[in-house]
Amino acid sequence: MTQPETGYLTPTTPQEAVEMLRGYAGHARVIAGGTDILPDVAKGALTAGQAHAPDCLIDITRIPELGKIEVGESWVIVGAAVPFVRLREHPYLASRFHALVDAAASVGALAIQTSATWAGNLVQALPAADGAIIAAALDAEVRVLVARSETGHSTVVRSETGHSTVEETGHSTVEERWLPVADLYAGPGRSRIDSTRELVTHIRFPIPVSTWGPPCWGTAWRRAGRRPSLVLPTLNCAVKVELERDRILPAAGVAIAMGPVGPCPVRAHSAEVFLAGKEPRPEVLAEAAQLALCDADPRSSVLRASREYRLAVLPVLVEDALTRAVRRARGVQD
Amino acid sequence: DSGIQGASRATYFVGGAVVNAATNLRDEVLGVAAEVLDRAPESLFILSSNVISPDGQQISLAEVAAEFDRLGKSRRTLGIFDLSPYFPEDTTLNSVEAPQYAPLFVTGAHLAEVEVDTRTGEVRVLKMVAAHDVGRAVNRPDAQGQIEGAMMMGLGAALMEEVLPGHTTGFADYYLPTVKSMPEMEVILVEVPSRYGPYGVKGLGEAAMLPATPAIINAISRAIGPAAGGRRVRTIPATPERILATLRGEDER
Repeated sequence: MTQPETGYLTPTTPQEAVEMLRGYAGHARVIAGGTDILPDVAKGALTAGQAHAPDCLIDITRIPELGKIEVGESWVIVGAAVPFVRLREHPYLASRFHALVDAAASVGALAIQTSATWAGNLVQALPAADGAIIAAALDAEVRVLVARSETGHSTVVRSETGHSTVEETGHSTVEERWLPVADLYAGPGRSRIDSTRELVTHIRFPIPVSTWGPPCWGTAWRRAGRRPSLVLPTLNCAVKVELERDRILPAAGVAIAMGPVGPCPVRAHSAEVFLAGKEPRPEVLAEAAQLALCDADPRSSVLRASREYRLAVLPVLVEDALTRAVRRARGVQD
Repeated sequence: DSGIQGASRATYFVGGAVVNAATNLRDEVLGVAAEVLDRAPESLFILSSNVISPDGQQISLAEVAAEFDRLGKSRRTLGIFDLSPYFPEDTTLNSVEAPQYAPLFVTGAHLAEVEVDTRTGEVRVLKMVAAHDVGRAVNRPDAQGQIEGAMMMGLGAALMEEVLPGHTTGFADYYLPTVKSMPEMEVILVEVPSRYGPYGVKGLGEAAMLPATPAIINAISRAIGPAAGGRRVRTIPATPERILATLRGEDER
């Protein structure tokens, strides 16, 4: 069976990109690194709800503003077309957001990181995507653009060959909103972002504010898998800790994200609540790590690991990450 | 007639036939050259692209080849490597019991140094040393590469490679070692000539792979021994889950 040829467009602004999506009315998809979508297109199979290959791929990597990493006063903003390798190599991130750099270095292998993007990783909505777990721990948000028809609408006429044509009527407006990553998931592998209509342009996460003295927060990443690279994680875990006078900040002073222990990235709420305001002594961290199990409901996978193994090992990963993040928060060099 | 020319015996048998063919060709070349130069063939030798006699007579190999053609003599010669005279059939055995002669006796030893996280069962192979008696290293980098590749295959078998019928779909979930799994490797080529192999060569292909897996498994077992109450790993691949089960005295899954 021959497939109809897939079109390929390269917009130069985000507005142009979402206008193109609107024009194709659900029959085009956004592509950045392409490490997930291209194998799918090649197989002719597509992700949730897609019965056929898209009529058009809209490549956002030629949009200059989406290729930037900006470090501001209170936010780090990462463009949707930034590949993981640039997160790995970013000097500020390497010195202050170790967990993000390590998570970026965990995605597939270097060849994949050269192309794959953090935004793409989030839109795939897998429960243990390395980019999703670190985003959950950093309380990241994504900026979503969508073009809506203002007057009239566009209609797609699908011919028997699978080609579609777009009949445009009226004008459109471009809407923008910021969405916390926790709200991105509709279920395992199902995102609330519809990449046939909506465009994630940026990911941002807050830089903790030091109320006294030098920065006193740290992050850490811990991952277990059947081999050191090019493998889905058996478990992964990201931690962010903020200290105030050697105690964990009482409010939002610790974030622990972990996967795959549920249908989407999971925060260890019980452990986070337990740690609030406490002095992070080793036995306290060990107890918190045990509490991570309260929020974990992993599945058994014949190819990766059993539920029992994951439950046995999760506290070890959480404890390792907490210990390391606290050390970094205290300014101890790795 | 020695079966498949692969695995450990390619250099041994093919090499033997090549040496024999080259020797035969040399004899024929010197024979023809001896006629032309009117010297005894056993007094001649080949230097660069000439056949030379001790008293300074010489003829180029091109001229010898032309003489071959003039005489209607084939430029091809045959080489045979036949060990059967050294291994007479044991007529007291029937054909089923009779051993296929296997003149390849090879020895090798591997050492593995590993680090095990006894909380998770994760293993890192830090260093491997492999010593193999190859008889004679015909191509040194090739022999070293063969051994390094064998260590990688042995490591894969020891730690991760497994087909689970009904589950394994391809290389996405059949875990082969990547470069990040590989330890520091040291290869020691031991050269004790064999009796029959050409220039003393021995086999290497399969031999290099066999010790790697048990070396790693023994190292893991020794590393976890005190924590595991002396229990050792009994199943390959020794996945983190199996190692943790051994540590905890649970049935291996």
